[in-house]
Amino acid sequence: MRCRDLLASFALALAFLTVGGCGKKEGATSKVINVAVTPASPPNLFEENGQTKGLDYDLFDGYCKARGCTMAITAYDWQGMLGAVVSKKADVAFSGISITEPRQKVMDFSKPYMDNSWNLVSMKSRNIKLANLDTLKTYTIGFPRGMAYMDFIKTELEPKGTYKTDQVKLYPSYNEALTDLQNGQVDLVFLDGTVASVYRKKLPIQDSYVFEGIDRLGFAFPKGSQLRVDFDKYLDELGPEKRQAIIDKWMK
Amino acid sequence: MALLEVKELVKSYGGRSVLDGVSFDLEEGESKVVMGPSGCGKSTLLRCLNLLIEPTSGAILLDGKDITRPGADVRAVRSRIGFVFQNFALYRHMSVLDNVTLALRRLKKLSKSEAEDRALHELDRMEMAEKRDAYPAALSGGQSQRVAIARALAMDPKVLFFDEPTSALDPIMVREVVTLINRLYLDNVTILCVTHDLGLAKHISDRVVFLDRGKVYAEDRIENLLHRDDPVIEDFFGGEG
Amino acid sequence: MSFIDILLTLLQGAGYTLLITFSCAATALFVGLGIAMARELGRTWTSAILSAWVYVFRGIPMLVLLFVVFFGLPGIGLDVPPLLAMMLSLGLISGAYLSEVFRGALAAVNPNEVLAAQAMGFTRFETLRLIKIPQMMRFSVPGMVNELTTVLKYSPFAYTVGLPEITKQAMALVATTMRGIEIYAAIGLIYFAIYRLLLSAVRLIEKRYRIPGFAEE
Repeated sequence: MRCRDLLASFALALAFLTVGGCGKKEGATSKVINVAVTPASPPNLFEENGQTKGLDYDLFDGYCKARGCTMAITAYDWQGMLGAVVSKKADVAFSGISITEPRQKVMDFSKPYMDNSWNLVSMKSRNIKLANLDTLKTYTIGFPRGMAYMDFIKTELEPKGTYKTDQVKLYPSYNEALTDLQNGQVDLVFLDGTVASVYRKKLPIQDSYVFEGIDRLGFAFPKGSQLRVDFDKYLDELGPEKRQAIIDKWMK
Repeated sequence: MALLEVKELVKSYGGRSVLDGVSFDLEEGESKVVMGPSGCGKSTLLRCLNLLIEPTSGAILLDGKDITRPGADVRAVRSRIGFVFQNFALYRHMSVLDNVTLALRRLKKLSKSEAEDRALHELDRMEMAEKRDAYPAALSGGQSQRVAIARALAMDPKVLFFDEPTSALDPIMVREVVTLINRLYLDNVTILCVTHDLGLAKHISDRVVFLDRGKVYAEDRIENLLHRDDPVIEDFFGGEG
Repeated sequence: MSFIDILLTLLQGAGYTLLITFSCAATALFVGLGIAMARELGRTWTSAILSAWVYVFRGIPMLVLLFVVFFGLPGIGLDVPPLLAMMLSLGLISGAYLSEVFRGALAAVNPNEVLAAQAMGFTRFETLRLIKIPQMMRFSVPGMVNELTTVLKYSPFAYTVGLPEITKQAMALVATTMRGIEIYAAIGLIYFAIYRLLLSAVRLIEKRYRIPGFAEE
């Protein structure tokens, strides 16, 4: 009868989700670390042929090999990734995350592992080059929701009258922002220095203005995380030269 | 002891009383027709008798037991009273056969084959056996009503109630239905029929219960009523005879 | 990477999309039917509570509810796995909408048929089960198709809580290949195929509750 069919399908769904839910719990043998990533920020974190790869991945992979644990990686969209670490659903998150004050209020960051520039890029064909920020407000800027650029504009640029937050166009990820850039719907797009280095090779874009020395990347952990303390220790053990070597490998 | 005894039945809504102390009896094998002008309460009466509507006061005795007292077995009462509606009320999502066997299988707990045998017997009596697999949407009004009657008969009721059985039918269909109900009447089925159709009343009644404004105004054989010199009755029948 | 390669990579996410759509749709059906039946059989005060519930759930944006369930509940100690979070947000909201579809469909059942069943001796519950619900299911088919496609179209939100369905595959792929147009075209094809699959599933329900003579196609 109808009721039976319904009950059966519901029971099936319940079975599915318990199986799905169980997968992420503590491993039996080695310690499993729940990792949250957004595979849309090459070269820090991206996916190729179903494999998670990137600068950040290599760094944390090194940590895991040293400490004898394994990663259980879940991909989220950018805000989901940050939310996962805040709500302790993930033990760590990394995908080229900038260390900012508002973020530090709700999560703990590792020591900065690399300096990052913020590049305003535009299409080569338009040849927009800004010597300074005086003419910035005549252009539209686009970037993904939830990224640190918004905060930067609000606290640094808006008070000086350089730019206003309501002139900004927001997108789900870099992909969409760059598509609009190519379509001419937006003049400038904010990219991470690292991300810009990758896309400069694939798209006809150039730097119109670069903000240096204001951004540093860190690995994000839930507040009060012991894992973070241990990871910082690992970074010290690794040492600056080895760390720079990994960065150079991906940034060349 | 009569099969059905109605004693001072009252049904009021707020201050308005639709039934104002109705009393009559129905013997086994008897056939009575309830007639009266609109608003006299005849449909309400029928629905009170099988407890579809809760009476305000009064007693209804079925086989000597008062079914209006609290704790009465409503289900048992309803299974002993067959009800045929004006608009047939066939279950439109079921075939003719399934319509008739539904209650047999669910309420009387008969097996599929037992139920079907019983159902086909009654459908045959109503000359609808060949339409057993048709759906209500494919039937004419007269055919639907015949299936409805078969559905009621299949439960082997002690009495058959008819609520304006021919009102929704055109004259040709009326004739076919009246013929079949007449056959039931001749088979000594106990019948209580609410109608305003004089022809039907003439064919199937032993006596007519004439209701006016919630009370039994008169009860007599149809011929006698028609010849009675009474303004209310003459008003209703409009000088027919 | 050829278009076929793109299609194949994306199809890896299709399994999840199907799982999410199916789970949320099943929840919605279960909840919607439950509410519809409870309103039919219950007292006035239970119906009032259920009406309020439906009102609330039809008004909440799905993403908000999803975030509350998935990111907010851990704050009070309730850890919800992502698929369950989807079912508790998209499923419950869709269930509220479906209950209204069912409510309308139930009202379309001929009250005389209900009266006839009661006159036979069937209880309220039996009448509901044997007469009202079978007809209601048939009348609800258009509304159910609507809700099912809505569930499918909201399934990409599952990526927000970490389920690797098709849209996630697409985003990851675009980030490395920058071939947005081809990739989103491919997704469109896949969603269309899934939509056709869902339609055939509903056709099955329609066949099961067929009422000859009612809107036959």
